[in-house]
Amino acid sequence: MITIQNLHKYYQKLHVLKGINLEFDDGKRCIALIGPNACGKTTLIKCLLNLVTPQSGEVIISGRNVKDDPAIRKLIGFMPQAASFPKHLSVAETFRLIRSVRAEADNTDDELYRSFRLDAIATKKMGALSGGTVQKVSAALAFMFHPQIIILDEPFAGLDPLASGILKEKIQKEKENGKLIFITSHVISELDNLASHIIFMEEGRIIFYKSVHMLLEETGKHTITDAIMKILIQTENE
Amino acid sequence: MNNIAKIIFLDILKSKITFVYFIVLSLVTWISFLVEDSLSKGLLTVAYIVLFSVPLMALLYSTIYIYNSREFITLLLSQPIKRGTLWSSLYLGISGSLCLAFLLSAGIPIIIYSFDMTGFLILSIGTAITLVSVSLSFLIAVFTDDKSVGIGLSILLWMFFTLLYDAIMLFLLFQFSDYPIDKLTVLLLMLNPIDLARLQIMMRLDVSAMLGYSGAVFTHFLGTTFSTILSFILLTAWIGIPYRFSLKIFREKDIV
Amino acid sequence: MGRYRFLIFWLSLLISCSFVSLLTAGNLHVGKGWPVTAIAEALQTANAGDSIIVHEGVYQEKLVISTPVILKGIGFPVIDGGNQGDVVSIFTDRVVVEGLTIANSGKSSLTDYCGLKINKGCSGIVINDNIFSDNSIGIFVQDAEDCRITNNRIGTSIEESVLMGNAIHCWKCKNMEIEGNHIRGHRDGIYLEFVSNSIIRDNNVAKCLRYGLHFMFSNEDDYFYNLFSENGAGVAVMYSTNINMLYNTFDNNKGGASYGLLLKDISQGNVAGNKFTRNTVGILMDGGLSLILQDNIFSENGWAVRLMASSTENRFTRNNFLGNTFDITTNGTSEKNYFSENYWDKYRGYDLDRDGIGDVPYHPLSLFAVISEYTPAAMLFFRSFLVDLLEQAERVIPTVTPSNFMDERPAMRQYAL
Repeated sequence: MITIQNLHKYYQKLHVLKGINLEFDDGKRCIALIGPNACGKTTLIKCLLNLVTPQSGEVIISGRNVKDDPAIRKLIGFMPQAASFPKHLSVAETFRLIRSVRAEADNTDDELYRSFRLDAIATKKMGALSGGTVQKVSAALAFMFHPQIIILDEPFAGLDPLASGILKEKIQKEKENGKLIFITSHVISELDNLASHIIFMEEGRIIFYKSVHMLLEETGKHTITDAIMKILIQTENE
Repeated sequence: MNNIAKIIFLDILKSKITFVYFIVLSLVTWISFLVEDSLSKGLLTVAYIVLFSVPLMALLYSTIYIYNSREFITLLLSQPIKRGTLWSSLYLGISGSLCLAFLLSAGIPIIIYSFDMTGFLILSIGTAITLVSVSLSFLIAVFTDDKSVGIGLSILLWMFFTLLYDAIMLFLLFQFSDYPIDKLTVLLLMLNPIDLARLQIMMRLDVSAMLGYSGAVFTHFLGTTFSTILSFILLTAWIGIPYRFSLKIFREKDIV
Repeated sequence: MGRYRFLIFWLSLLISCSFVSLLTAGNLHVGKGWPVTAIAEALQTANAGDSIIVHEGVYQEKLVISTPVILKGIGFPVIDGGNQGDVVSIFTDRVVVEGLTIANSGKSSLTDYCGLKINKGCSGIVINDNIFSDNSIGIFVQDAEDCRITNNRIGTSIEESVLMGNAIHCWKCKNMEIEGNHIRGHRDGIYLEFVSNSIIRDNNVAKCLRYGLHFMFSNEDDYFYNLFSENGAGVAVMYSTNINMLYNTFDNNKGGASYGLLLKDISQGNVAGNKFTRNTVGILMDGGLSLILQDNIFSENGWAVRLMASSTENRFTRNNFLGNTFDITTNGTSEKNYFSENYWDKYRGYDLDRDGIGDVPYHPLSLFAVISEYTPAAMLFFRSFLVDLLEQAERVIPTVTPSNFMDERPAMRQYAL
């Protein structure tokens, strides 16, 4: 489904991605992208969305280069790190706008919209909403158009526990439905029971890409948090 | 695309700053016509105000607006939409609303007082200058990601076009006044969109004096159809070229 | 007063002429179907005081009139000079030419050929209600007196300036009356050289290559109620004294060296009640001495008045200056001219004692007017913000503009003129 080949990205002189090679064939995966700050997670995601143009290497989704075909993004649902919307738009208008951009607007997935009770604030202006509520809108939009690939950049930041729970449940469900889901998070504990695979990045490189099952087996731990901690301590000792 | 343009258009029309712009420009235009004792004086004052305030407002406001819409742009670009489409929608929305604000504020009194070629000329010039300024601010906005640098650049650019350019030209004119550089001066002045607009207005409202300026520039050049066409081409270039450049950069740009 | 005497003289002349012709003179008819078909033939047989009635048609002939006759056309018969020589020449007194079309004089760059020529020593000639077309000079009056040139339409399609003459050209004449003529497209509309005690009124002169009306060395003349528009320049008054210029309109005389009224080395004249509108320069005064300019309207001119350095002791009072790009400009600094109680629409003063006169003087000379006087190309920067800034600075600390150039009693309100 997604092939990433030898991806290099510089911001001016700063070498942010140092040759990323990844391949994702199947859906039914929830891949957690983790790593320290400024390791290149967000840049990698932006390469997938063609928001950032790499100096070399390619991102190919469904056989098409993301650079050449904006329509590729029909396959992707994206929830950015801190979404911001035109302040004067009401919630309903915001949904209408994104729908009008997405041509396949008829058959939408309104589950999150309903469970976040966004219909109750449909007439409110986006500018008047709290950060958490904006995140809810953003999350609902990411899932709305049945995308094959869902990218969630720090999805739980700012969400209350209840909303986090709803979102996690939705992620699980869509994974089962055969979607390919990427999540980045600072709080690794949030990813327990959610991620099926882990990509660990550091200084622009992929350190490893493993299934959670294998990771736990190799480290002998029970949670992702513990496993990662162990690896980090190991690498530091080396 | 139309939908995005429409949303930006309405967003700007509803904003407080646009409202203040609208009110101030309307008031000043009305007052100019009411206070001045002849129509042509009123028109001259209005033209002066338009050439001064419209580019300032359009440059500053649209530069700031683009910087403030960064997240909105990111959000839309993660959707299946072409960058070119988004950029042109942004241009349509911003320039459309600023033009409308201008036409509604200055346009109504101008049409009421001077429903003729001169009034029409001032309105077209105001519109063209708005379009040029928005184009330039698009270029500034893709040129640097730093908002404060961008705002600084747009103020500098405005200063350059309204004052510095003329100062340099006038200085050169006095330095080389022994040489026949009239035509060159006209051509160089026409390269500045604000001077270009000013010359067009002068040719209508100070036509008697312009004809007396015996450097032969007027009769052989400024008054001709050729110069009208050239003015039109130059203004179009001022709208088109910065926009094309900004689009080219925006297409390749990293959205961070 | 002189005008009425003039009128009475003409009326009595006309009446006596008609009586004479009724009693003694006969009518000779010329035209197709009449016994006489050539006007020259009729002129030969006519006695003094006879009327020759010319019927409609085209007459390919040149007329020499040496008997005092009344030559009257019906339906504007055409006297066609065939592009050679003068078409009609008058060598005697008391001739009336009326209702003819006089066309196609000779065209030469060496000799001035005319549609109609009044030759030396003639007097009491009336040229009324004729059409002059495509002549080099329309009417040429040479050393004659007491002639009336009235209600003629004079035009030409000649475009080469060397072949083009004046529409009405008077040389060394006295007591002329030029009235109600409609003149288009000659070199000068009316040219007067050594012409005195004459009246020019109600003429409409437009699209002449050079001047609408041109005085040279002519004294004691009046011109009023004329309209001069779209000429190379409206009126030039040169080397003349005591010319009264009243109630004329100078409109739309535009161009590099163009002006409504040129006053060149003249003195003791009156310029009053005139309208100067949309001219490049309203009045260009070069060597004007002791002229009185009052109750004039200057509106929408490039320069309302240009005073060259040699003009002194002129008085500008009670004029309206409206919507001119520049009101006054000069190339000198120290000469004395008086401005008083004019209305300047650019005046921004106040009138606390409410006597209709501004409490602070007005300086009609702007910085930019001075600058563009020396560097004309600076005009291109007019109305730019830069120039505006400089202008404001100059107003606070005058450095370039002479401070004695002012109207100490500017009117607060426009005069109804």
